[in-house]
Amino acid sequence: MTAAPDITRPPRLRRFAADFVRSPIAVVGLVIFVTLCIMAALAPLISPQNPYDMMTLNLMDSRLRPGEVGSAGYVHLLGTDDQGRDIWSAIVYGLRISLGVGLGAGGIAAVIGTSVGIFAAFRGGMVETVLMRLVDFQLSFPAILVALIMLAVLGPGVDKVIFALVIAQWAYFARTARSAALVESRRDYIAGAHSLGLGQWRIIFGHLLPNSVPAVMVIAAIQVANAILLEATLSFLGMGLPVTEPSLGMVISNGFQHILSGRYWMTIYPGIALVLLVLSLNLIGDRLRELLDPRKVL
Amino acid sequence: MTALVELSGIGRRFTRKLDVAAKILNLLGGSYREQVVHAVDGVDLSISAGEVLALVGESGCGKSTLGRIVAGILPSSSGTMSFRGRDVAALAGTDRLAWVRSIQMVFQDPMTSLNPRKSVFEAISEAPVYHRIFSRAEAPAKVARLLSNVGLDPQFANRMPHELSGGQRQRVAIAQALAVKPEVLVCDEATSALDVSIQAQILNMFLELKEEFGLTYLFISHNLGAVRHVADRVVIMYLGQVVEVAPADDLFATPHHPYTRALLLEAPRLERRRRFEPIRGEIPSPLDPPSGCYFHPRCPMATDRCRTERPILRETGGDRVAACHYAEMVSPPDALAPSSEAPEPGHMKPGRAPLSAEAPRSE
Repeated sequence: MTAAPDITRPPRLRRFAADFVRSPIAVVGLVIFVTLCIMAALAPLISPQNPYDMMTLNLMDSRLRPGEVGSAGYVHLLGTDDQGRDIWSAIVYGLRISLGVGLGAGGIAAVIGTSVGIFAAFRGGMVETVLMRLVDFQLSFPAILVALIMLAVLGPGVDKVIFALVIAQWAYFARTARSAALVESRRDYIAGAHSLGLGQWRIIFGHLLPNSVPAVMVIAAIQVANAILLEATLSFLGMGLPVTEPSLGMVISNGFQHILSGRYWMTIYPGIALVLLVLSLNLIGDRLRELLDPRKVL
Repeated sequence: MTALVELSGIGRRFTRKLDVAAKILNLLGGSYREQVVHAVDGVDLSISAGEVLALVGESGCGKSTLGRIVAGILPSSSGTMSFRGRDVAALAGTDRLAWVRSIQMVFQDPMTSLNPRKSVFEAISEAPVYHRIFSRAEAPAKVARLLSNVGLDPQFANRMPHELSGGQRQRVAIAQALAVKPEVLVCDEATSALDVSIQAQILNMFLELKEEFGLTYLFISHNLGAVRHVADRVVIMYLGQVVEVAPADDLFATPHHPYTRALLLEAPRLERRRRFEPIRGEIPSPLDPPSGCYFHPRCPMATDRCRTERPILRETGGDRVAACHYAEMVSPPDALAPSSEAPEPGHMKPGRAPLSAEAPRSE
């Protein structure tokens, strides 16, 4: 016998990263997203004011135009709102809340929904019927309505908003994951895995799940963006987060009252931040979908 | 020869269940009924250790379903199957696993029979490591050995399935099956999705592996050229039922069922030019099979008896069974064809006959 040839696993992560950056538009998305994440993480360092601390607000500074200097002696780059809150600071802190809620709710919904969907597809029969009718029932209501009802019952709070968003969104993941897993489970390699005597959990996690991920990935990117938008909408409507923890949606809502009196900055700038956040997530999601399909020629 | 796998009365129904709306309409006097297809219907069959048993029939005759039942992928809805004399329905735990592993399947489409996310190395080593047939540390050497068994360079271990050609994938799929040390290989149209030049290579590889690993084959095919090349015994299926079983050379020389004869006449051959003679009519719908003999609407020999009385499988001499009232009267496939100088296939040793139009030799 000759010595065994060198059989090593290819450095996947590195190859994956190299492939990812081959799409310029995805890189733009990633750069925007990472920048927004860093801004959110470093919020106390890069903002001149803590917008949650009422003591730092001065009503004398209210409705300053972008670039004006306030009573505290620093420039309000993006102006202030009607309570003298620095818009730039409010955006940075708002990003924190929006990102946290969006990623948290999207992530939890993805895990729950995907598990339910793949389990339903694998087991079939009664289990599948019951779970999927539940999904149909849920999807027959608009997500915003479900979230509103949940919040009306639960009351305000970050954890409750995340909970409400998960309830509103898991069904999308379940439906997508199930159909992807159904397609995969009809393929011969799953029959082969049964024939090889692999256990059901090994088949679910080793074979069905990895091959169903690309479809879930697309939904995940859209749903995280949707969760951020939903949360913004809820805040805009005055439901959800308490006034002391303003997210982007609430900042936009505050400024909205003034948009017709020419004080555009209170709404436009936080709006741009929200658009950039959602857009960058979509760009990243699109590229991930392309890359996670192994049959795709890059 | 001892029977390794024994099927008795194996059937598989596929039912289209009524939905809630139909059930409610039925309560109101509607007449919706469940539609049942007998994909496989009362098949008795035994596979002996070391033989190559070919399963032949038109598409939709249930041969793939039967193959999947034998491989333990699909449960049968009736009948019993035994492996080494033990009823597989009664097996549990490690005994069951041993049976499942002992019968492996090679699928028709190599594009879907490998997990697109696993490298060749992972695909081949996953199951044996899982079953502790060999350890993770031994895996590279074992995988390299298996790859060379199926005629691939060990360097292929690093490849992903989408980087391989159809023939290479099929070889990997075979190596994957061999890795768990099976006794029976069910090859479901294992060569028909491949290039004709590759088909012959894979077929010959099956024969070599049979010697090396002491395998038994259930070889499912509609390609009579390939069957003639590899099979010891042939089973002909029609509409979910076995219509004839015979040693390969006997079957090709003197079919005992009109359907077998028609299949033989249909097979394209290089030796002579003749008019293409398709089997009359369509395959009947398995939802509504004909009365009597299922083949009678298409059979040139059909009589009134065939239309009313279903023939059972009966012995027709010399290790053969056929399900035809007039089995002894079926003429050889060459009787009607114009005579030719070319040697008849029946005169050749079946195991070594050159492949015809379907698979020219290419080694």
